[in-house]
Amino acid sequence: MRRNLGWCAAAVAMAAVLAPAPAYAHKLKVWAAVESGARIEGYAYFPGGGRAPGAKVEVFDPAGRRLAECPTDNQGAFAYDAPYRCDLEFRADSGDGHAASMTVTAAELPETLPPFPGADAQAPPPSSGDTSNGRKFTRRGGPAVAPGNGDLPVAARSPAGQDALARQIAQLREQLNAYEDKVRLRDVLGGIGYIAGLAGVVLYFKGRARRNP
Amino acid sequence: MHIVDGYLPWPALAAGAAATAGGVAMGLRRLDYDRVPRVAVMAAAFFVASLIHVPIAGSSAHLVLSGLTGLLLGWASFPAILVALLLQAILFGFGGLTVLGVNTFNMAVPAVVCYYVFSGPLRRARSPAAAFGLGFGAGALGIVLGVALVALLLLTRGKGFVPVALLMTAAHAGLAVVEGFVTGWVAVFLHRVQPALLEPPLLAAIAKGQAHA
Repeated sequence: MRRNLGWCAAAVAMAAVLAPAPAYAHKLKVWAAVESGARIEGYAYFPGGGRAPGAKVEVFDPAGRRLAECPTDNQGAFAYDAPYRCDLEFRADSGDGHAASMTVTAAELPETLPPFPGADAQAPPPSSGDTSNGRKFTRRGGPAVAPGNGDLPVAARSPAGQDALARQIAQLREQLNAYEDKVRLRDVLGGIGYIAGLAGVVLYFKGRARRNP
Repeated sequence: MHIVDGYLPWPALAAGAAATAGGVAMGLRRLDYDRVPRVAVMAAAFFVASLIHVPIAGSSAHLVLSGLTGLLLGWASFPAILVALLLQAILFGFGGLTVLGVNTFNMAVPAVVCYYVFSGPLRRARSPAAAFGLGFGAGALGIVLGVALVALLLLTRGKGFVPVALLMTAAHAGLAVVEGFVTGWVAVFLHRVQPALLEPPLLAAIAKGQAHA
């Protein structure tokens, strides 16, 4: 009886250790999307867990040069104003060996931004995680002068409509990202199935070898 | 405990892959027909255990079960852990394909060491308390050795990785205790219910082979 009590105590202690509320997951992920105009906002997070505050987020241009560093705030979020219309890679590093990256493509950025000057150009204009010149690109330009807007729905032809559309798409992509994390259960079951199948294959060959020595 | 792609230079990757290939060959050669299901079950447990997160002191770690794998499988831990890590890399994005050899080495070597240190005494254990103590030792040693290997590998990248290695070691000290409890528990259960599972796969296989010869 006394031993049983001891085991119960151990079980309770184990449960207490294993089940505290904000369980952090193993893998770091970074999310970044054009919020409005040239402003890119995002956050670093652990799927199924919480956000990653204080993570180092660096921005790289297509030539692989580091444009800026914008560490996440205590909510795990960061913001960056794109200087050019080009693919921007956001690399997050939580400092404990977990790293992740996500690329915001040129197509998501407003066409009013100057194009990427190329790898030979001089150092990029100074930009930091938080500058105020982000919004004025969109406000000043506008889709009327930008080519290729004829295909867009009417709502997307005004700057306000474009912003709304961008937000909706961002929400959609966020949902998609969350869905991706949910597929995990199927992955677990699938993985166990793979192992069972593999064991079957090994048994088959070992069994054949046993019958025909 | 998983090192991600791109963290290590290629000589380390190649050395890890070669060492793992040797261990897997050793494990497969000694693996006889009757023990294949046990290896598969342990591989599945190892595969799923990585999803059980243990939040400790601001950081987080997940169960590894290298000690338990070693106790039950001996050298066959190598193929079992290789398969489990391969599926973790493909399905969960833990670790990666190029570091698969290094990661397998880092977790299978502690498993084999635990097998040599604890398996014999555990088979001869007279009381559940002794079984628990030996199981606890195996679980904890598996983590401590694994973290030591990972920390050493990170340190080969330079002095800048000292804080990372220290942080990881601290986070895993707590995990070693938790894993010790889990493994100790399983050891007591097996000791009472199914002591045959604790018989050594490697030595039994060799003895059998000699009997046939």
